[in-house]
Amino acid sequence: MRKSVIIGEKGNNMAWDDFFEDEIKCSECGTSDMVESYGSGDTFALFILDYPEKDEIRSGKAIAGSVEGILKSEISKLRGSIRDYSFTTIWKHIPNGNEKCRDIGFAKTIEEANKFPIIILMGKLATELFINQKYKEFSGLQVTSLYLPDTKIFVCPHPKTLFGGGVGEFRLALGKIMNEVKECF
Amino acid sequence: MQIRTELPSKIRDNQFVAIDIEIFGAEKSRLHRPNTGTFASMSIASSDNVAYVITDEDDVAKALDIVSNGIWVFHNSSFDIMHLRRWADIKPKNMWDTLLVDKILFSGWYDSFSLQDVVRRHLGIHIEKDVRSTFEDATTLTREQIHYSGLDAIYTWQVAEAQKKILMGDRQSEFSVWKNIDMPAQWAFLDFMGWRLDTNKWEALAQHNIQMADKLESQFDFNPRSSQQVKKKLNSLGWKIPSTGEKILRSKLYKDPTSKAGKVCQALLDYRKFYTLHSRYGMKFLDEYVEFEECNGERIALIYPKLNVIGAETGRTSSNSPNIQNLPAREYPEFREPWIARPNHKLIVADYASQEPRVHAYLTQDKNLLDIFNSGEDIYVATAKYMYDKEIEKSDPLRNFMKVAFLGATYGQSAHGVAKNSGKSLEEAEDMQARFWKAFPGSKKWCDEQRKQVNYVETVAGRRIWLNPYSSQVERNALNGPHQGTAADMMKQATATSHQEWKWDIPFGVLSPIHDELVLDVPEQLAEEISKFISDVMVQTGQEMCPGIPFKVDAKICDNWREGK
Repeated sequence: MRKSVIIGEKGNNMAWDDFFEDEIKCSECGTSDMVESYGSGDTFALFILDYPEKDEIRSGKAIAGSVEGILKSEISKLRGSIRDYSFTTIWKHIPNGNEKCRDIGFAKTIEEANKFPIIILMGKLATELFINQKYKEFSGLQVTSLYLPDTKIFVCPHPKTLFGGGVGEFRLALGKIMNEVKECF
Repeated sequence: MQIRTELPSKIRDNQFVAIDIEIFGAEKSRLHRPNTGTFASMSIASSDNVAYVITDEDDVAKALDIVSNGIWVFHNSSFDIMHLRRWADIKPKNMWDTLLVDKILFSGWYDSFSLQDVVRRHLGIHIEKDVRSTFEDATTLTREQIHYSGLDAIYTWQVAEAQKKILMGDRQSEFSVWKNIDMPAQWAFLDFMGWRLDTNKWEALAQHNIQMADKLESQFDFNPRSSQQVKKKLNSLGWKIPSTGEKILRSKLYKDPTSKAGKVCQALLDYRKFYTLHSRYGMKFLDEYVEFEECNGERIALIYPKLNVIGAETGRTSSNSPNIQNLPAREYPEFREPWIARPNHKLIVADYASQEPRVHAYLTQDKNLLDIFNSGEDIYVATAKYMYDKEIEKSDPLRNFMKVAFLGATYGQSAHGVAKNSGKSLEEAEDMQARFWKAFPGSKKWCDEQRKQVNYVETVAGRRIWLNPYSSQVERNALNGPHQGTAADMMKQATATSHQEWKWDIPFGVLSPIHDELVLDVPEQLAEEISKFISDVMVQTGQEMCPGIPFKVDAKICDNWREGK
C-alpha cells in the first residue's frame, strides 16, 4: 500500500495526506510505479508537467524532490503558497516509450484539467499535446487548446530549466500566472 | 495595423523610428557579410500602428533621408546596417538596438533574445516567424512577405518603447552602458576590416594535422572515433571507464600513465587533438570563410568573422563564422602565424598587461594591491614579496604561480582548481590561497561579499549581470562577472573611442578585439603613429574607468599575429 492523494472535486476541500488508497497500476504496461495528481481540491490552478522522475515515483506524487522544492521557493518569493495549486503529469509513470501509456495519461490529464479554471502547461510535451506548439515560443503567454476550450491556459518553463541558464523566463511566466490566480480569488 | 508600400512620412526630431531589412537568398553563415543575397524590402515604423515597406532598393537612401532626424531602432543592427550600407551612405549616429539593449537589461536573466523572444516578453504577443524562411528562395515579394516585414518594424518599435520605459526608470546606469559603450562599439565593429590569411601556411598546418591523425590512427586496432570501440579496447586492457569523454580519460591517465591502457589512452588523446584541429581548422575552414580581394595590386585572402558586441552574460564580445576569438592559439601558437598583414602593411597587436588583476585591485580597493600597481614594479614579483616575504627574479617559477593566485581570486577558483592548473599539490595551492587572503585582506573582504550575492552583480560601468541562485556556478559568476565584464567594457570603450577619434584618411584599421588584445592592420608608414594612438586610448580608457590604477598596454608592430605575442 502506498500513501497517495488524489484531486477531489472543487470545494471538496480534501486535506493532503488524508487517506490511503489501493495501489494503482498502469492499465497498459502494468507498472505500479505510478504517480497521482497532487493538491487540494479547492485550488483554481492545475500545473501539468510532462512526466515524473525518481523522486516523484518514490513519493507517489506528481511533483516531489527538487521540482517541488523549486516551486515552493519560487511561489513563496511571489508571496503565494504551493498549497494554492494542484499538480499532475501527462505520463503517470516514468516514460517507457509506449505511446499508449502516454495517451492514457493524457486522457486522464484532460479529465482532471476540466475541473480547473486555470491550467499551466509546464514542459515541452504538455505544450505540444495541448496546443501543438513549442513551449519556448509561448512561455509566459496565455494560449488556447481545443481540448480545454473554456479554460485559461498558460505556458511556463519546467522548474528544472532553472538549473541551467537564467531564471527570468520562469519567473516572468510564474508571475503572470499567479496574478491570474489572484484574480480568481 | 496599416502596412503601406510607400515612402515614410516625416517624423519629429529624436522620435524612435524602427527600421528592418529583409534580404532574398542570403546564406545563413554569411548573413553578416554585405555580399550575400539581394534586396527584398526595408520596413520603417515610427508608431505602433503604421509601417512603410520600401520594395525598391533605389528608394532606400531616399526613405532613410526622410527619417534621418529620428533615433533609428533595429533588432540586430549589425545585420541591418551592414546591408543597408549597400544602398545608402550610413554614418554613425544615435541609434537603438532592441537586441543589444535587451541583453544589457537581461543578460543572465534570460537566455535568448530573438525578436520573437523580446516581443513575447515585452508585449505579451506571439509572433509567427514562418514567413522568414520564404525569403531564402524567393526573388520577388509576396503580399504576405510585405505584411511580415511591416509587422516586424512595428513590433521592434513597440519593444524599443517598452525598453525605454525600463531604462528611464530605475535602470538608468544601463542606459549609459548602451550610450557610452555598446552603441559606439557597435558602430566601430561595423567598420572592422577583414583578417588577411596566408592560405598556403594554413594549408600546410591542415596537412600536418591530418597526417599526424592518420599516422596515429594506423597504429590502432580499433576505430578511435567510435566511443563503443574505445571503451571496449580500454576495458580489455584493464580500465573500467563509464564513458570515453576527455575529462574521464585524462583523470584516468593522470593516475595510470605507464600501463598499456595508459599508453593507448595517450595515443588516443593525441589522435583526437590532431583530428579535431584538422576538422575545425582544416581545408573546410578555407572553403567556408575565405573571400578574395585586390589589395595594393595583389589578390589576397581575407576572413571577415562576425563580431558580437555582447556575446556573453558579462558583456564580453564573441565571434563566429569563424570564431576568431577561440582559435587554439594558446596551446598551438602556430595557429596565429598564418594571420598576416596586408601588402605594405603591418599588424599592430596591442594588449592590456594584467588587465583583470588591475580591475581586481580597483574593485576591491585593497590597499596593498593598490600599492603594488602604483609602485610600477612587476606585479607578480611584488605580489610574491607580499605573500612569501621574499624577493624573487622575474624568471622564478613562483612568479607564474602568482598569476594563478590572481586567477583564483578573480575567477573564484578553488584550491583544487588552482592545483590542477598550476601543477602544484593541493597543500601548496591551499597554502598559496591562505597567504593571498592574508596579504590582501581588502581583496578577501570584497570576495566574501561577492560570494553572498544571489541576484545580480555589476561592472564598474554599471552593466548588470544577473545571477542564477540555483546554478552551481553562482559564486564563481558573482566573482568573475565584475572582472570579466569590466575588462570587456574597457576594451569595447577603447575600441569605440579609437573609432571616433580615428584621424587618418584610411579605413578604420581594427581587425578585432580578442578579449584583452586589439589587433590592427595598417599601412607600414603609419604603424608607429597608430600604435602609439591605440596604446594611449587603451591606457586612458582603463584609467578613466578605474581611477587610481595605472594601466599598461604592450603594443607590438609585426608581420604576423604570432610575432605580436
